[in-house]
Amino acid sequence: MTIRHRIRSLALAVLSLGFALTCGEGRAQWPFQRPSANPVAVEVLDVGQGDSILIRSPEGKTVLIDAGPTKDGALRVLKRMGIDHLDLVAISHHHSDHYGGMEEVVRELKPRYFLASSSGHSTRTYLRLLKTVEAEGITVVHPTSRSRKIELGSVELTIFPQAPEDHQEENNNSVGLRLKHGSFSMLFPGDSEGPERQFWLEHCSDLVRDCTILKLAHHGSRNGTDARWLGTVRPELAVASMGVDNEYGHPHSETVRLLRSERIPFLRTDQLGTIIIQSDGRGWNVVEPTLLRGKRPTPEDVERVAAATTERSPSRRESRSRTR
Amino acid sequence: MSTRLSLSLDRFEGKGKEIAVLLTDDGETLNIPRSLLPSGSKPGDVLALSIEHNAAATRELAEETRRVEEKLKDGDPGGDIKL
Repeated sequence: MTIRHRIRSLALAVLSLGFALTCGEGRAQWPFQRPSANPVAVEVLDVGQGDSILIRSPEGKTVLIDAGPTKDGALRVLKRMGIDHLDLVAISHHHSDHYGGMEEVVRELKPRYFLASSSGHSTRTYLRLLKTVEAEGITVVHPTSRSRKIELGSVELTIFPQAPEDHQEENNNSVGLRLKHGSFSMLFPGDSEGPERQFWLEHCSDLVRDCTILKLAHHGSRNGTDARWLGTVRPELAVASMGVDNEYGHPHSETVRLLRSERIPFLRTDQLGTIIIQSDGRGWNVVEPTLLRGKRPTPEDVERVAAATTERSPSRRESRSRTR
Repeated sequence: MSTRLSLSLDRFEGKGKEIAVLLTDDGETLNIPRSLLPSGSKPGDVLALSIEHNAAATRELAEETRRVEEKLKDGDPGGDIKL
């Protein structure tokens, strides 16, 4: 075995440990590589019990969807990553585990655009964020009854048509987004629950169908995923953000069981730290999860995963071809 | 309409003991910042917490949010966006 093969086997073994943690199976089901040149990178940031996702297009355009639960958590992570500007920030919905750190991000990085729904749900903290956006002179973009596209160079984000406002459950006022880069796609459904997902299935199923990767709604809650939704999205990989030992029990066992029964690998920030996915528009891969760095896989892991993947599998997973 | 809870201050937690762990009479825990406690509070103290609905403040917040949102909406260029 050459040194190169050995390194690759070790890398795959590390990933297989993560997979075993999440799905209880022993085989790595997706490729895992060092970053390739010029990809779109989607980074599901480790911000504890909340969401924050950074998108970087090959042309250097940057988008932040949500900013986690704490006042300065997301900004701290972004600064550590060397992010000094954002083209667009989006708030999936008006819950503090998604916008808690956005005021600091807006103040410090002054994005060009701010995307949020105009749902009436508010808190004094959310109102302060809106006033900061106003004071900074940031252009605000809203979802409308029709889908809207945001062009990030070769990457396209589509804002879903907005469902009728749910005055009882803010999760159902989530802004839905689909990222597209060549044949690679990723779905960001906020914390949407059954009624809003049903609306999207009825009104824009073409935006929902056949996504390469699904960011699970509502941190893997039982109300964020169902069989019909998964059957339409048909993701090759599911990811979700949540805090370690969070008191809400995320991800719920029903969701984990459903993903397992559909044989969809599931990556979680509470187990892996920040999850980085990249795509050149054809294939995609997961970059080494931060929390697994430095952990030593056993020789058995190396042998098992090497046998399963190095000879027969392609080095990168090709996205299913799609016409959209 | 208001709720009044009787809470026992069980302990302080966190790196700087900045989190107060309160226990309801049913044994449920409620964590709040220590800074919100009356000064001099110590473990073993029994505290009373009243929660009441502030209708006027709720209305004011909703109206202010709606006003700012409407103003921000005016700046939406509409259509597709090119970054």
